[in-house]
Amino acid sequence: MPDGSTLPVRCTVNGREYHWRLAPGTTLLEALRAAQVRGPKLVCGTGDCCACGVILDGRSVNACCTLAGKADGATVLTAEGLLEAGRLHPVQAAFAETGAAQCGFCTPGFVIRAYALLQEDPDPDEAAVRAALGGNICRCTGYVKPVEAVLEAARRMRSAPAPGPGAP
Amino acid sequence: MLSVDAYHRPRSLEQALALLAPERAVVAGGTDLLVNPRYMAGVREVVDLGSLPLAFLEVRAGQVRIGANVTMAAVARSPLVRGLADAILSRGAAVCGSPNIRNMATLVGNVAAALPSADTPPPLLALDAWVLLRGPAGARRVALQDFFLGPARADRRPDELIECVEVPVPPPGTAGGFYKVGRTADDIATVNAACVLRVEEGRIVAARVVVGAVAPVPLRVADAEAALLGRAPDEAAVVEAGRLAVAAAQPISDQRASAEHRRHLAGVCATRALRQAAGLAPHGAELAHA
Amino acid sequence: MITTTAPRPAPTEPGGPGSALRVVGAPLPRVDGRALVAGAPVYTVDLDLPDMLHGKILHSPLAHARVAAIDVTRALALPGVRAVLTHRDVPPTRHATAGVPFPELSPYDTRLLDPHLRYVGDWVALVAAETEALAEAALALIDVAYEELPAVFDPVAAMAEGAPQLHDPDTTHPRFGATPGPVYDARHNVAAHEEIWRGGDFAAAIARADRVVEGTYRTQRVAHCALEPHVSIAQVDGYDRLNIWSSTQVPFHTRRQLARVLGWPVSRIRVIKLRVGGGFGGKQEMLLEPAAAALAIATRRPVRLLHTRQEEFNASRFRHPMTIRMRSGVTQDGTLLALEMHAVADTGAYGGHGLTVAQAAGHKTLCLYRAQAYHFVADAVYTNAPVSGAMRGYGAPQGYFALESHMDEVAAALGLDPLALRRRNHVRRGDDDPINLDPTAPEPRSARRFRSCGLPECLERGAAAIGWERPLERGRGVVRRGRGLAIAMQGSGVAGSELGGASIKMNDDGSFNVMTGATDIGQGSDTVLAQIAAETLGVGLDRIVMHSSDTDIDIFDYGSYASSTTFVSGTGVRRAAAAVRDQVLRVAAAMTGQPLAELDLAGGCVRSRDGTVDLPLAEVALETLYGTRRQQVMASGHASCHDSPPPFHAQFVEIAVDCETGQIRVERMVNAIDLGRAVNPRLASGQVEGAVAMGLGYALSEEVLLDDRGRVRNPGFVDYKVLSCLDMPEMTTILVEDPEPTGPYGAKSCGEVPINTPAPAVANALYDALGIRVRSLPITPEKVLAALRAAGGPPVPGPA
Ligand SMILES: Cc1cc2nc3c(=O)[nH]c(=O)nc-3n(C[C@H](O)[C@H](O)[C@H](O)COP(=O)(O)OP(=O)(O)OC[C@H]3O[C@@H](n4cnc5c(N)ncnc54)[C@H](O)[C@@H]3O)c2cc1C
Repeated sequence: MPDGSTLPVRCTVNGREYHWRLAPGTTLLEALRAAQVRGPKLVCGTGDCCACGVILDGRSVNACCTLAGKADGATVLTAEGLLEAGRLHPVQAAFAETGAAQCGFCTPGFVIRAYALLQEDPDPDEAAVRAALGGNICRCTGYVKPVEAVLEAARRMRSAPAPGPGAP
Repeated sequence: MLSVDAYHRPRSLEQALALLAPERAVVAGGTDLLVNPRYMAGVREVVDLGSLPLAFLEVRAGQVRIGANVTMAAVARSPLVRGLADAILSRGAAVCGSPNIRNMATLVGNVAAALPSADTPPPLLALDAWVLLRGPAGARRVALQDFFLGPARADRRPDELIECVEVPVPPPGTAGGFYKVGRTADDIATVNAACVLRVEEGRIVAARVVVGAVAPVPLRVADAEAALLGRAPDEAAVVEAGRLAVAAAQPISDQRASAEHRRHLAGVCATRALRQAAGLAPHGAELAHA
Repeated sequence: MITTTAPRPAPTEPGGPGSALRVVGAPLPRVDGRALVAGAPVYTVDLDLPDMLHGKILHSPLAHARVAAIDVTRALALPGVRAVLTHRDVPPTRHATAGVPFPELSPYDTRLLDPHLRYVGDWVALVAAETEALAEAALALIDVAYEELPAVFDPVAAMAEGAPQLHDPDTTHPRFGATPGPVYDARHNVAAHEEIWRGGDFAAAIARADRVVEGTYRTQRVAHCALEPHVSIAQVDGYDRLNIWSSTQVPFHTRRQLARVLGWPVSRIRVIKLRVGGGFGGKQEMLLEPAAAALAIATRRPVRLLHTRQEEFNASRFRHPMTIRMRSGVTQDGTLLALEMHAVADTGAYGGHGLTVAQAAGHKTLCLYRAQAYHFVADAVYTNAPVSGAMRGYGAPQGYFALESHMDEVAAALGLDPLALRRRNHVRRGDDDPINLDPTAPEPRSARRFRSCGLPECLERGAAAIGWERPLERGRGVVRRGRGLAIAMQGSGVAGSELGGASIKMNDDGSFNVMTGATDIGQGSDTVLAQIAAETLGVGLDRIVMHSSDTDIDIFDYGSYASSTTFVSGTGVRRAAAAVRDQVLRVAAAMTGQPLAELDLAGGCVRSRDGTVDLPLAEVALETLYGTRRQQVMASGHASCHDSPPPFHAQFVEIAVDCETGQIRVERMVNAIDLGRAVNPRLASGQVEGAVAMGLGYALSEEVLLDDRGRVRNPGFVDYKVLSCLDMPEMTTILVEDPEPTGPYGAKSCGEVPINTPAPAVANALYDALGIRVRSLPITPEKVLAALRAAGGPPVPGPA
């Protein structure tokens, strides 16, 4: 057994600074959840479902197959971090209002993916939304409402642009 | 959690090379290393290439050079890469996993992992790509077609890393094709294929036909390439080439497909890729995922 | 393009207070939505207890074996390991793990730890340690000598003379007692068996038929893939009571079963369900709870047991694979005379849901059609495969794949339009259920009369939406198109076997706590039940605070399965709310001096018909809590389920088949469901869309594959292919409302019935496209190509 915590990692998660000492093989997902950042979920552990999606230095990635060491000096954003002063981000609001969250376990990953998409493309068509969500597995909704939610969020953000955390 | 004793993140190539050793694995994106235990056999420490200055994607001396830190997402979007033979490499990169995977996975990692089902080796082989390896004794170039030795086995010594992949810019007018079949839209290839054709005065003067996931390594179908030379790029020619791909395939049966099905798909994928290159069928919509 | 057609405007309630519904029927957001989209830590996996240990299970590497010797010394010596339990350390009580009412119609064939191991994944030992990694490391240090036994994986082989016998007959069952018990025929591995004849003389009906059509259909083993894996946390508290937090659909059944397994009284056990990250039947089961409890009792520290995804695939529960033989006799004009089904279900190593799922293959399906005579046989057979359990649809998806494929084969044999054949034969409003009998009646009597049946409207509107009468552009080249349909019904709760409801109390501000044992597992029952309460109490949804489910606090409920929650628990909630309403009005009548009959609740106030009283509920609340008429306004209501009124579903699909790769792409799908009343149309259409997506995976891509030693070959999402949004067709969902007189505000159910149709609808569309019939699931490209070859090769491309 490797002796636990030898790897220092300093990073900013949802605007808060962390200094971790981790086992060297720790994944970013394990580090976040150990730090009580519980939005990202462990579901498949193999990168196949995106329920652990986070934004690492501006790019959405799967935290389950990202080494925590890669977050050293980096900025991490998770679904919790999209809340501003307790107010839902338009992506979150759209997911809640369209019924895009059923059991909700995949939802933080969808929200992060949708947020990343809309940063890159504020006016995606439905095909672009599907392509962007193509790796996010949901077992409850059949994807109709998540796709609708992203299109709705895009509309809202275009009419009332809010830069959102992590944006330049 | 990887069971390792140390995580290294060298800041320079020299530091990195000094660290390389049999019990130390190189990690780029980590999308294979963290998921597939075969890459961790005997590994006690990891060396993360992430901080090395290897994120270049550039043309130099007629070669597109793709550094070890260039992600699939960057490859898929790069105008330079899109300019190569009908964007076949961009299209291969655009269907490597999901957006979150492509934001992390590197093209070089896809090559280094040396899996027969990988999506960028067939286009790279069709483009006659090279691998630039660097070790304590200096750099060496290996033609990609000599690099793959078997599933997850390649011509790389434990003290070497791949600095970049080099793709010769093909002559203008070079056409390409790419076709992937998976069980679902977002899947590892059951079979994939890529090809390049150059046609002069109505005759094929250069051809590359590569099929993935039908042999221990991504398979160049030399017989099909030879058969295409000198022919008109028509339906009969591409169907014949597909037949030769079927003959060349040596697939296995596994949880994804039977050997018989893969052999059949080798022909379908090769033929469909060739049809695109020959202008007989439209190109696929892979770039929509880039 | 995705469109969801909104239901027609909700009619006012027949016989109701006369006003249109305000909250019921509205597409309101979920009451728990905010927490879910914000990534709040509301699931069992997010719960950490101070000083918590981590448990791990040592799983059998062999499909059939005996533990000859087991030595835990080395594991216990590992620093940080706090307990290692083997079969010698836990009670040997036989029990069933199926989350069903008492007494279970299941063999008591399971022990918490049994030295007789019956599948790869069976439990050998339990470990608790300071960290997950330590617990994992300890597993490798348990020394086990296995005596391997011959294994059997095929149900037919398992029933043969001389096959390895998996179980002894049970003599401890409370219902079956010392009789041979519900292990019907232990020597032949038959866990359960049923044969029924209904209607008239079956042989005579077959003899009268112009045509007899037969076919055999096979369905595969699939996994629930709830995104939250099974997880349970157990703690013995300072009062020496056992608290279990668990991701479960059945807290109350689990509490009772835990009491049996552990030998603890129910009074000392508390089961708490937090948000659940999906269930789909996989959590209609006591699974990790007793193991976590045993470890917590042994260590006197909280213990968490959490499945890895791989364990979900190796050692949880699955949909029963079945082989189903169909035979029917019809007249030339398409009238069904005789309908026969023989289902053989692979229940795997244990038989918890074996009888009831195998039965359901026929009981939930054959009643869809009128016939003169019916014959149904079901066998649930033990094999050394992973354990089959409850899964959305509960036997019906298997039955409907067979029945609805078969109906198309009947139509083809007669040269009839498949839609016309169904219209001719399906049951109607006012019919008696021809299959299911009332178990309480001394004489054979149908269990139910169908008091609502919107199926004709489903067929009409669904056919119009897909354009059934319009010619289809079928394609001439490699890609060919086809259209197919399938219909289904299900139940709403289990007839004669339900109890659910809520208690409701009023707070200072006129808001209400609704405390229910009904378990929201993501389907949104908290929201739907809140809407029913709000409607009855004349308040907005924001005045309702939901609590579910805690066995110490919430009223008894059978849990979330069998499409019961809206119908059964919803009726209970409505009754509770009506009783609370009555109490409020009485206080208000006293406060205002108005006659009770003149008062009503609306808009958060007590109002009189003449408009002179408009008293905010908060004032009534203050009066009851601090004023002169002190009382806690509170009531509970419960409901049972007499006859499980069926929702109906008609589905139409258009598919494209690539004749070279064998790939099927579903391009369009129309769902038309009669759910009685959509209490929340947004949640209801979400249930339909989710069910059909799961059904499409069942049709096309999902299968748990075993190797020849019973090991799962694809234990993860890499190779167990759940569909993504890129695989989904353009989808239209039509909600048809034929109000059910016995349902709350006319509601029946909608969560299960749509999962039944995609597999047969796709198979039927494939036949329509190419004239090939694939009778086994999933319909993989390889099967399509094999069928094409058998039919003489792929179609010759026509002129472009
Ligand atoms: C969910 C999921 C889906 C996927 N889908 C696809 C798909 O559709 N198609 C496909 O082709 N692949 C797919 N992959 C595989 C994987 O993403 C790719 O192979 C990826 O390109 C690997 O790159 P990486 O940077 O992540 O490599 P890593 O995991 O970091 O490394 C992979 C291997 O290469 C070695 N290595 C990496 N870089 C170097 C270097 N510079 N020099 C020497 N050795 C090196 C490592 O030591 C390791 O052995 C998928 C993976 C996941 C998790």
